[in-house]
Amino acid sequence: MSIKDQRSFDLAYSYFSSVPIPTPVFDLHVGWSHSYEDLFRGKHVSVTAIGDLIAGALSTGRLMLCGKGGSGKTTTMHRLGIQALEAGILPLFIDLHRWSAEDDQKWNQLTPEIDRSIDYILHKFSNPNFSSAVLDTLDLGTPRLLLFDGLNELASNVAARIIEAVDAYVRLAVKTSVIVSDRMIRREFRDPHRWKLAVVMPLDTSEMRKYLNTETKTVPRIDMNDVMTTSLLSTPYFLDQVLKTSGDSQTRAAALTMYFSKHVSLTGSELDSTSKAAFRAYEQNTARAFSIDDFRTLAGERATKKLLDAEALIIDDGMAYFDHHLKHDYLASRYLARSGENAWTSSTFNALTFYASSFDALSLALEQITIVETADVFVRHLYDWNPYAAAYAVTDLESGRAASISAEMETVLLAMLAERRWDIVKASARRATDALSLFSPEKADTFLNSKHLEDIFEQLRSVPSSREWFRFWLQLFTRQPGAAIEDDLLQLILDSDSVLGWTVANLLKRSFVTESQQESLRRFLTRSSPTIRWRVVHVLGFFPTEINVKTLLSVLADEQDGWVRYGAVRSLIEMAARTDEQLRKLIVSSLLDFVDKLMDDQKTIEELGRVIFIDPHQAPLDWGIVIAPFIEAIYERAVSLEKRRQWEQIGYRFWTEYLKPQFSSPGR
Amino acid sequence: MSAGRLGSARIAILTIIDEEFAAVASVFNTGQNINGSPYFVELLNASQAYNVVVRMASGRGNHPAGEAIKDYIEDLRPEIFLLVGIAGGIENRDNTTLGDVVVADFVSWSEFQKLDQGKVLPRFIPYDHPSGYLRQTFVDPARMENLWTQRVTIRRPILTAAAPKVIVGHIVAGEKLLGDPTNEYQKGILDHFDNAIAVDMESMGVGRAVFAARRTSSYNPIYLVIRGISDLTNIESNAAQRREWKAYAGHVAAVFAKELTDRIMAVANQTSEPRTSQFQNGIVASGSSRGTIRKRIWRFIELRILRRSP
Repeated sequence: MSIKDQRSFDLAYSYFSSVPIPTPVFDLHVGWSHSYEDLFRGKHVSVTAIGDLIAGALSTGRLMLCGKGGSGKTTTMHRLGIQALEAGILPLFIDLHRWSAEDDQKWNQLTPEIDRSIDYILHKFSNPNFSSAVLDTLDLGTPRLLLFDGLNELASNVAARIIEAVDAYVRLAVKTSVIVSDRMIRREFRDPHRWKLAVVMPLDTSEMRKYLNTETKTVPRIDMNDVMTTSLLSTPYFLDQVLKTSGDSQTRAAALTMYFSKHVSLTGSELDSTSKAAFRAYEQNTARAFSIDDFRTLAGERATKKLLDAEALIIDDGMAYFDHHLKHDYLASRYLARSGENAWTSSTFNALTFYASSFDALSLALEQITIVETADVFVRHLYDWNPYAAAYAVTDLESGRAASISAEMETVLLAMLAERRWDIVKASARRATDALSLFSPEKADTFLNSKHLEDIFEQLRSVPSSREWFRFWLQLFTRQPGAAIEDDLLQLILDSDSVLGWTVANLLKRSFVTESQQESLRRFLTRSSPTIRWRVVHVLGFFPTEINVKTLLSVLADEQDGWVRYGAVRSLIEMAARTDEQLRKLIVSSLLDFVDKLMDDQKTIEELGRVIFIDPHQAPLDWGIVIAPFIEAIYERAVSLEKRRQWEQIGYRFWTEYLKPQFSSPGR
Repeated sequence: MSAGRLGSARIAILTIIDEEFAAVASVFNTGQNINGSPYFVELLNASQAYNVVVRMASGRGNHPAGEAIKDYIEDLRPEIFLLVGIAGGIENRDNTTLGDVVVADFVSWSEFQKLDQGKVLPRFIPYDHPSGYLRQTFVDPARMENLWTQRVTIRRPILTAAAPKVIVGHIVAGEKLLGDPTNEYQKGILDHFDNAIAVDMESMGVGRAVFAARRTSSYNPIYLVIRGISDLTNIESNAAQRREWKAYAGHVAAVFAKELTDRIMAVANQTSEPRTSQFQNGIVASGSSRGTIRKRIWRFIELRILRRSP
């Protein structure tokens, strides 16, 4: 080994040996899956010791280590660092938990060269602190292993770019592999075959029993037959909490409440002020790191000092963060849960989840709403904001525990997600399947395996319920496709209840809606609520007429709300896919006229890059030829190299799916 | 050589369409697949170190070509890349004719432009150009000797035409298949790049990927573009030409690529022999007959005389 390499290894050893090892040292295992579908459904090809993660990463260069909050991902990453050193592999630990709003801004300003992107991350977050240039000067035979911890801490778009940068770096840097830790969320990869997928498994009962119910340990007697308890304690973080606080909590929220009240000694009012401060920190920063001064102003001097003394809060270079994100999530979710229905809006959900990047805090919030009817209302608001988030929040509650929502609400969620499995847009269908896969097989299998909507209707009709709202909803949802719609039913699309409103919107799409009723729908576009306008544009996409095309184009031109504009462009694409050749060409040529204006609306353009990928079985034969000029137009107007590259990839993917099969041996 | 995830390769050949791959695989005898990968070699070995590896890109265009090169780099860290296949020639440029082999000395990309007030302004991105070292050290001697044509085994579509020749020149890479001489866009491209002798859709992608790979002094990949001319893009009947000449053009490009790899490997494998004898090494490597050896010796002497001339 060269002197340079030896020094690098010494620095790495110095870092990894300085990281406190949490005790007790739980025996962690990982489950390996071939796909995200299998991962979400808990289907593993094998379960192994965590040491196998290194070999897995080295074989393909990239490994995504998934796990729920508190499952032991960070601990695993640190252990892997030590094991890598022992195997003669140079590890770097990249702590993304410290990513801040300022990093978002600086990251967005970076030009797309791989080295700049990677070096920004390495410079700020890596331990030992090496740049890519330093790594390149190591011996050619020295394997490098970069451990990126906490991808889920970042907003989705930033996380996506980091995956891209990491992938590009690994391709070209010699003998370099990465392991990235993340939540249970699907990520897009350039080449999925080069990414291995693994999940940190819950602790098994025998591992828990090692530490509980022993006479010599000062822990309360734990009933290992209680499903809720064992479910909670199968999460290493909470088992650790119970052992340290001598608590006997059955839920995550209860365990964390006990921690803050007993271990940190926060009073009730201090807990309230701290919760508010924690929420505001998320709201203002969209990151785990925040200004300690801002936090102190809201939480109070005393509460802040207690948190610092307990080392729950850490200050680093002027910015603060909680020593575990679950603590921050709990506090922020506590504030939101107690704020009541008026606070449950898209804006607050975006703040709590970093714009739908991480849903842990949502399930913690739901856990703290103990009145079933209120929990149902919370889920309805969640559904309005993001249907998949609603599913994640509900399924993330401990298994075996009756969800704090009603069985009927859970059924509604399952049914509405199941209907989306047949969405013509592939990404939407896949998201629905992913969300359903998170439910237990007993609950989700029928909905996942249904071949037709009628199968779902049959399943639903067998659900017993005396709740009037559910019986009304069921009546609506199970109406026969193709049937006529009454005018008063049409009005329900305006309902403030999101579940009812969206159920009616989806019902209209599979019903016979007269031209006069469509005219009524078009008039609803003048309503002030963007949610209603979004529902309407969603419906109009199913009725391909010239007047609806013109209406949707007007929305695209004049609508202020981004989601409604996205809905309009999605509906236009959907309409183009379902209609005849003539109208299809009209739609696409009209959209082509819009391209220059659309280029200013990056969100709509990005969504467009997703919705053009429709189910090939439902795609018209000329889909490839009709849409290709549109892709080319956007590509040619892309100003930055990065956007050009992005649309080049989209174009290539589109060609592969819709044009290549037609032109399999194209001349030269 | 440093290794990638699947081993190492000295020379990596990239083809684009099935016919090109078949031509190269036939000439190089690369029938063995590295399991679970798109790579083919002559013989698998336990050391996973290969002199020549061949693969096909996943599709046409600069993007898939670039992606294939990057995959190559990650998997096998090749020293030299050869993009081998067919391309469209341009009539009346440098005497290029059907069945000739074009080796690029310069690659232009025709796509990155700014449309501004009725003008089309060029824009540039950084990418590598084909290796001058490879061209001067291996292509030029092979071209001048012109003995590689004896390895061509496919019948030339027009028997009365002259034998294929190698022309070194400018290639324009774009994202469009140029085959309509009446098309204004195509005419504009050919007018603008008035000294280009061939057009393709992949050279820039290869150059861009090689440029991106150049991170350290310890890994310095280089590449060549070797294209057989299958049609003349500015001729009405180019589609018919392509059908007729595609197989031959792919074959001659593969044969010339084989000539080059033999020369490269001969130099790589030589021990104490002086550099001036590399032609002899090349002669021995190509396994020629006695009559051919005599011709080559005379050619060698001729070249030495030419070099001494003012």
